[in-house]
Amino acid sequence: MIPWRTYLKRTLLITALSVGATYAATDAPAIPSSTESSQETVAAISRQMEVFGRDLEQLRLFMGVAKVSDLDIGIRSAIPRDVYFQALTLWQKTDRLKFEIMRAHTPPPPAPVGDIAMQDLLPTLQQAHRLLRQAMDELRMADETEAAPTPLATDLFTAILNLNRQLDSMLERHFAPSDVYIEVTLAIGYAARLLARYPDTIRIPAEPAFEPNKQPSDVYRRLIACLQSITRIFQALELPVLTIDTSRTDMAHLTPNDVFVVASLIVSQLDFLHKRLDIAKPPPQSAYPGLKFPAHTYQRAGILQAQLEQLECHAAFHCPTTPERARHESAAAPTR
Amino acid sequence: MNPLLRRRAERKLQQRPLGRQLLLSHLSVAAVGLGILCIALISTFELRARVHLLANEGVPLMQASSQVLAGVQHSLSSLRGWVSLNDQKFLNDWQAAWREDIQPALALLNQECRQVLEQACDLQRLHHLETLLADLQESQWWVQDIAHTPGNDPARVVYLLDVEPSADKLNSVIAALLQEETGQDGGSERKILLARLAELQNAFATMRLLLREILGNNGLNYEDQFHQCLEQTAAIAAQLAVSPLLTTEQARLLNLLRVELRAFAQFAQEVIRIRRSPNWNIAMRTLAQETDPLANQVIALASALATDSRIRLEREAEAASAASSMTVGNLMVLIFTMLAVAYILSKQRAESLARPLTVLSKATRRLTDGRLHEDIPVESSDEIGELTRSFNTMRASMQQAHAELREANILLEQRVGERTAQLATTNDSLTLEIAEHQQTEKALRDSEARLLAMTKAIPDLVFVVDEDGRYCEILAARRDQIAIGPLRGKFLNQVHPPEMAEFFLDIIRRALATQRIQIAEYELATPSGLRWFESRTAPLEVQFDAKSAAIVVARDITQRKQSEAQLRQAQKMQAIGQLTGGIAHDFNNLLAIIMGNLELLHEQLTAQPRLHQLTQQALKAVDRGANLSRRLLAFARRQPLLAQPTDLNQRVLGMLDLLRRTLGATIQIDTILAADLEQTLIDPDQFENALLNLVINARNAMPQGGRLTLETANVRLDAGYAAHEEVQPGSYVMLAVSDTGTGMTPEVLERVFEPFFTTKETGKGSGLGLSMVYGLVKQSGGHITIYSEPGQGTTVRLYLPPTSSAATPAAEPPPVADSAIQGQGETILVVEDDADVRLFAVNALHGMGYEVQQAGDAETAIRLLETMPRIDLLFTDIVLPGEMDGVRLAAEAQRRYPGLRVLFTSGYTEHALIGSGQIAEGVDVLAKPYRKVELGKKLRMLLGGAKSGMDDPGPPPSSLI
Repeated sequence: MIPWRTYLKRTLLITALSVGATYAATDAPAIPSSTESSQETVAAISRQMEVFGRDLEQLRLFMGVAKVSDLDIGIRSAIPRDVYFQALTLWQKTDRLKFEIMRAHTPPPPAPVGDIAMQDLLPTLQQAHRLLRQAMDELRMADETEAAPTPLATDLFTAILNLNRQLDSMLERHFAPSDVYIEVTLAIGYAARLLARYPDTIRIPAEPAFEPNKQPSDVYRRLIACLQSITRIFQALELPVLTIDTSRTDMAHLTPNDVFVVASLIVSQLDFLHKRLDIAKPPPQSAYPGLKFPAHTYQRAGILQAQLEQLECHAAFHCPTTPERARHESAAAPTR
Repeated sequence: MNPLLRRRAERKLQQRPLGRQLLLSHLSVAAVGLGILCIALISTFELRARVHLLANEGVPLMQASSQVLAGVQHSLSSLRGWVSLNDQKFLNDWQAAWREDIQPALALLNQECRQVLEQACDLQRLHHLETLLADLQESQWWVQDIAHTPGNDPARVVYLLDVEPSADKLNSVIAALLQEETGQDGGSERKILLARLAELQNAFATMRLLLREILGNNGLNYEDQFHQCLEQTAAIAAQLAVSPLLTTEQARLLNLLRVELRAFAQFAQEVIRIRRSPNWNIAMRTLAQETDPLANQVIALASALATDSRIRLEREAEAASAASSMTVGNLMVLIFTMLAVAYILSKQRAESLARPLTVLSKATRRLTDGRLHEDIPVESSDEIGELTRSFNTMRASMQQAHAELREANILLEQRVGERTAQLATTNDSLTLEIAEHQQTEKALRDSEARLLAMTKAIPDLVFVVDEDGRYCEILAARRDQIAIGPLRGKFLNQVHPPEMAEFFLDIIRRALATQRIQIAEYELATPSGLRWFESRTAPLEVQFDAKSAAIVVARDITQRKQSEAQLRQAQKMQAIGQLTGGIAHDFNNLLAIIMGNLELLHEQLTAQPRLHQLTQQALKAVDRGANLSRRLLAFARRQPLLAQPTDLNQRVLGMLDLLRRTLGATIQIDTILAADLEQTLIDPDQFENALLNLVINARNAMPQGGRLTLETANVRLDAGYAAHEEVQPGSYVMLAVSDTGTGMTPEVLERVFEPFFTTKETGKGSGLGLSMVYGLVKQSGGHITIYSEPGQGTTVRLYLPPTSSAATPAAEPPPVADSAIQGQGETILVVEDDADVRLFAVNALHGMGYEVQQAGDAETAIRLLETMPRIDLLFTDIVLPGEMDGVRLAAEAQRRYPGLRVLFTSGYTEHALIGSGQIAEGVDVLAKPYRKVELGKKLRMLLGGAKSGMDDPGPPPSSLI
């Protein structure tokens, strides 16, 4: 027999999430392939990426950086918010590249108001391209950009991912474990805000023990587990979500840049939930943590994992005793 | 109750055994008590329920609220500690506060409110508290997480990520510019360009340092300096950019530098902007703006919960108190009732039991008085009836025994009377005998006491030895001297070494043969060391065991012997002193003549370098002779001393550096200086000289290194000590110099103060060091001892008389340069009995530009003073022929002409002027032999003082007009 308090709690949760889910479902930002304007938007984005990719290739050759092979990190998504966050990462890296060449930063693009749609990508991509051009101008490279080709029906998400990888290889200061650490800490802030809706949860569980000798692939696995947890939450709430298939991922060639992509995707999902549930208080801004190794990020991701398990438990309505659920996989199973 | 019924009841009761009666009585009292206990239990049940409610429900609530309150405060203080001090302990405390205080307390609150006191608890408020605590924990977690990351200080992050790379690039560009310029050939213009580049490099390095300083807590103080430096760097870069000397590569680099410098300036502005903002430290900002307000809300809410719990607890306590009062009242009433019932029942039973016993008691008294001649009637068949029957039987037996006893007593009294008469007769005769015996014993004890007192009073050893050398009687013996156990019956050779035993036996036999007293002195080994004895051996007329014997009285004369030895040593030292003093005096006069003439010769032979050098060497030899003479005078206690109240501690501490250098690294110096050391009156310069001498001796005794200890103390030498040493009893200031060196043998120790005595090789030591110390201490009224043992070390102790005057540093006269000894035509009266010395002085004074008058004795000098219009200074020998010596001459001259300057000279200072060997105030002395320069300096010093005195309104001291 369910205690009346638990019953009441579940009722409230169902009500809260149903409102959000209904809202999300009605405005689900899937690729608007059926409408003409959406097709135009996708086409414009594709053109912009093509131009960006061409300029980047020109710059790569100028800088003498090796070509980076594409890597499948196991994420499949066509959801605007996921693509947007990858575009935002592209902008960050372009800005860092520009800084390394011109010693000047650029203010970040304004955040989209309301739900993220495909059209929000274009300004971000355009601004990233402007930064790239400024860097090329600084290096006195001729503008060889040709006229925009025919729109490409390509997977935007994967294309941006690969651009990101190439761009990262051209940076003097690559995206490092400390950048992943910042992103994971931001995700913990989001998760804590979400858990604050449930009184019996532990918003920030105890940090797992530090385990040395971790590689980017270890962090990747733990973050993928987090992402899988998030997909289950979204599925429970009947919200559209990306898919994960790591069967073809070459773990040996994963870099912190690839791990950062996964971390930024987690942030994008949690940010979406945060907005959906109308949580007023924003998560704390995470700060530069100094030198961090993959082992530190792995440890921090343990907190996130424990938080997401609690969230998943509440979303799936099968929480026996919450404190016991506030555990990361390190506590439940031996370290791989 | 009807008396008839009552009596029947009593009789019925008396028919029962006594044990049953008592059992019934107790059971009835117990029944009443049990009833009261039941009532009390029922009364306390309500009270117990109240207290249970109080303990189980109210107290945990209040405790949990208080624990939340304390935990939150603890977590706040720990977090602040972590943020401020970066100490892991505070972080652990913070975690413990949540884990051990707040969370268990919150769980308890939940449990109590939701399960036990659901109706009483304010669930809404509790839920609010839970939410607030969760918010607080989350907020604190973020603070602790960020507190010690670089990102907590955004300005520092900008510095690390933006400024540093830019600065590195600028540095590399400047270095390339410098390298390019170094490779260029050119003249001064290129050197100027190189210098400008170096200036640019320096200005940029300074700017970078200033920006790093700005990151600190008070970094904004450097902002203006940074801007100035930035402008300076930019200005130099701009000037360099227009230089026509730049090569193409330099122009390119300079352009690059200006672009990067602009970026650097932008980043620096960003750093300063963030640093200026009040939120430059994220952890502190979060603490102030978020965590603290949350904590205040939690504390307010937890306080409210605690207050509610307390009010509820007080209410329950009041109810419990009322129930308790009622229970106590009920119990009091019941107890009084029980007491009354128990009293009545017990009284009835006691009376029924006591009545037959009272009859028995009365019968016993009558039996004792002999008035009971009949049996007591038996009224009951219980234990008391049995007791009555037994009593009757006992009464009959006792009456019969009493009659038999009376008859035996009469017979016994007759026999005792007869025996008593016999004993009285015997006793009288014994009493007489005892009285006689006691008188004899008393006479014997008196005699023994007198003899014992007499022998105790004798300080000497008194014993009887027979002609075979056997101790027959020991009449008086000091056990501290001959601790060899009982002597009676032993032979001399069993007690003493063979040669001493033979010596003693020879004396005894001589006394017996000559029948005269034999006197002998000898040294004997005793437990307190070797001691001297004087013995008187007299023959006895009585024999011991049929053998002739002699009585020996031996007296300890060790002290007398020591005094004689000290007297001899003192006389020897005095004789040596007089001898050396006399020699030194004459020697000084001779040296004065030689030195004076040599100096004049030396001055005149400047044109002949060879001869000039020879006179220079001769003058050095005279200086050595004068130095030797001064040390001899020091030993002879005839050196002039400028005694002042002196703090020995201060002097010792002031010399420590010098002593360390003197002793070298292998010898450690320890100081044990008394904190309250008194002042002593001594010439401080001579004291330092003496201390240096002692330390040098110590160093020579420790060639392999060791430890030197300098100790000062206030000590008191008593009369007992003074009797053995040449010193007055009283208080002294002591300085001890101890070393761990080779030490000295007693033979060396005996001669150690003698002048020219040395254990060093010839030419290595003068043998005057300790002599000088000895002379200085004696001349200063003190005392010196040396304790030394070969292989152990040496301790020299100086005892100096204390003074109550405060130590005042001696006013140093202004130094007079060698070139400033020329006179200004002042008139000097020279009084000297030795014509050669006088001649030197007169010539020297003339040479220095003085007018000179001379006299060979005091009378001539007085006449000259009367006749001469102006004498500025009297320069006189202390020792003059005739009745008036130099001191009296000076006194007479100053009496007549107050303020007249006087300069004495002497070969030594054994004179009334110096009294105890110390120079009187206001008098100056020039010791012989003296150099012309020394004489000139003394005169300038005295006459210079006179001139300064001319400023006074009084008459000029040197004026004789």
